[in-house]
Amino acid sequence: MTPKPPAPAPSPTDTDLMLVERTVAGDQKAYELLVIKYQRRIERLIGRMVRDTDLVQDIAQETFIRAYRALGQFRGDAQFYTWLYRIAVNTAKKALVDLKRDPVVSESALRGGDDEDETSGVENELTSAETPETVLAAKEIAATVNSAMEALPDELRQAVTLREIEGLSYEEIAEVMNCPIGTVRSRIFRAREAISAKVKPLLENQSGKRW
Amino acid sequence: MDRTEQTREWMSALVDGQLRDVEFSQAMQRVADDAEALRAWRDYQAIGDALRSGDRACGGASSEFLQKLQAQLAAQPLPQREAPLTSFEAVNAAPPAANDGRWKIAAGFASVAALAALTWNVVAPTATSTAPQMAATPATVIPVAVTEPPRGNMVRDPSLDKLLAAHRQLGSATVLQQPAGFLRNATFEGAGR
Repeated sequence: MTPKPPAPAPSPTDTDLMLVERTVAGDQKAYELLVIKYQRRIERLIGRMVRDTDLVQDIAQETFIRAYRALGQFRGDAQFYTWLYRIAVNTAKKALVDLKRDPVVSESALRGGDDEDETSGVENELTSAETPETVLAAKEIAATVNSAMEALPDELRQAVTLREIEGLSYEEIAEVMNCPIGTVRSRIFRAREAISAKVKPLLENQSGKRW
Repeated sequence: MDRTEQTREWMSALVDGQLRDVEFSQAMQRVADDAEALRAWRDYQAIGDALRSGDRACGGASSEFLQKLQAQLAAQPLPQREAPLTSFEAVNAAPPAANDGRWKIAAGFASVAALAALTWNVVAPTATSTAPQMAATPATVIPVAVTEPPRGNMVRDPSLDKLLAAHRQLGSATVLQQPAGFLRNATFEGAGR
């Protein structure tokens, strides 16, 4: 009898689906993880459509509420962010219609400026979700993360680079680095902890201290 | 490994989709119990964004935003598993668009009906312009063509020619559904009978 092959390791996308299922089963905290993960991206997306900073926040809130209500209909056929993206765009359009305002940019421009496409001209514009202060804070965070990366031991830096930038799975990283998967998991965790120690004061300052 | 470190290690693995079964349940229990789990999750998401997007990263999530949302979510009923809908339908059930399938079928029927009507107008008069067609001609026309046949040489009425020329239509048919030439010929031939 041949041994049963091991189940493939889940991806971060699978994590989203697992969190959705957990939410539908009654765990609201699971949904909060999804909110934390996508809040800034959704705000940035809405910020390309409306000029009013307060309105961006309100529409983002409404987006997550609507998504929560409709969560039972999400089956994982598309990525969770793709599904959420459509809800955000439609919620923003509806809000603008209710306020009898026109969107700042068309949806086609938004499509080009999605986070997957880093070359969009729209992407480079300052959105209403951003102020000069938040842009400066983001630059500081990026610089701190990069300097923390430079200070990491080689094996930690390589592990986290292969994971976060190259998008390799733990199995693939284990093969590349010629080490067990458990070691990969440990190295990535230690790398994140080292970076987090440097960047946490900036994140607390930017996003509020009451976590 | 102490509790806090264990929590953060689980969150690191969860970011990468590496938690399953028991570990996933334990980690989610920790998310419910321990605010450190949310902090770790936020830190790691922000670090990943910064590494992938550089200084165009969006930064960490806002605790104020989350607290406001938590209050609203508490007032919401639990989401229920339902038949799948698109995200658009989930947001706003709009009337069917003009390119909806039902409208396409309706447009197809309308096109066929219009084509049939046009074909009938063009083809029918010439195809049936035989003796029975004369019988079907409206009674108001017959006196003009038949009851007053010219005697001897035909004298063509120039005003009639002008009128017929002015009202010539597709396929030389008049508004009376008869070819204009046929009317003239009928008048002329009537004289010979």
